[in-house]
Amino acid sequence: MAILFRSIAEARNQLTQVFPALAGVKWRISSPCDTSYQCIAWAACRTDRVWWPWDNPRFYWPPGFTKLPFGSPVPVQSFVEVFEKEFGYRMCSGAAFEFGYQKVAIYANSLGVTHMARQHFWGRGWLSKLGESEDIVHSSPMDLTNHVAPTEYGDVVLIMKRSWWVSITSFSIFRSSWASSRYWLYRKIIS
Amino acid sequence: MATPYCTPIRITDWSEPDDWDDAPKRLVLIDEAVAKAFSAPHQSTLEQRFREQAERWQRETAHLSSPLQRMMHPSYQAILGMGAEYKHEVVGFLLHDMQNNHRDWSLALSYLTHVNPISPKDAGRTDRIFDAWLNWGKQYGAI
Repeated sequence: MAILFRSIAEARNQLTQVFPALAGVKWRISSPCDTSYQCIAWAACRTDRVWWPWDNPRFYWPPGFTKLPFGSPVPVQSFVEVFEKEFGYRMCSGAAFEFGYQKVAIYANSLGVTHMARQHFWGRGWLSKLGESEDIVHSSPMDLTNHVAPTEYGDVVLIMKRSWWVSITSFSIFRSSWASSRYWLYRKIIS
Repeated sequence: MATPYCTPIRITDWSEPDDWDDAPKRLVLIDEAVAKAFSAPHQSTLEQRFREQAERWQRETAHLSSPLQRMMHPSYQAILGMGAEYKHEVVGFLLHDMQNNHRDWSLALSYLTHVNPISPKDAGRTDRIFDAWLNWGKQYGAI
């Protein structure tokens, strides 16, 4: 596991260059860089593996779900299938916070899915793991969209939601809380 | 009378040198020097090119989660191209970089070597995948 602690100022500067929309909104960094997981795992409240639906041992994909040939573009449907059947989400229309529900956002561009973000349990923003870079908490899924550079995240193409009850009974909320609390000391010291 | 361009040759200049027998040995030394002169800059240039591309790739794709986007980056493609031509050297660079800088070259390594040292139960576990590749590299003699 490779964890890189860089200064908040350095990270904010670099990430704002990559995601220009962050420059005008409120957001914060909530973890160091970590290669152990990426956004899909973090949307699923996991921090121990890199998730991707390719048939390659570099990536984990839940057993029983379709894996795609290595190198192929990944359609939204691959993620919808897993987040519906494995985590109890269902499609919904808007990203606004609804009391009693937690949401995830799926981003895609012409190459297929690029990113996922998970809504904070109490609606205090959206949690995104930016590749190998830091986790951030941002106010809206639109903060990471980029229509200019085709190699970036593209647009939010789907929002899904599940009830708090499912989140609690599947223990996923406890897993993500534990992962967040691991970095409490980091945040206190560095920021 | 015009001034001569150089000192006139004397008959003694044409005499056979005393170390004439060492000539083959000298030729070998020249061959070695030429080979070294050509190979040393090439090696360092290749490694330098690799480092430049690796750092650029890291800098420009660290925020991306999609492995497809990361692999399509021009620097990643450049490294794969270098690996197709200088496989042994580039595999060594990739493994050393993975060991020292923790950059994820596992897909490039499997592409170049056609090897999969990763156990299915370790799928997605970055630390174990790195260990598997580094152990393979030691057996392969690349690190």
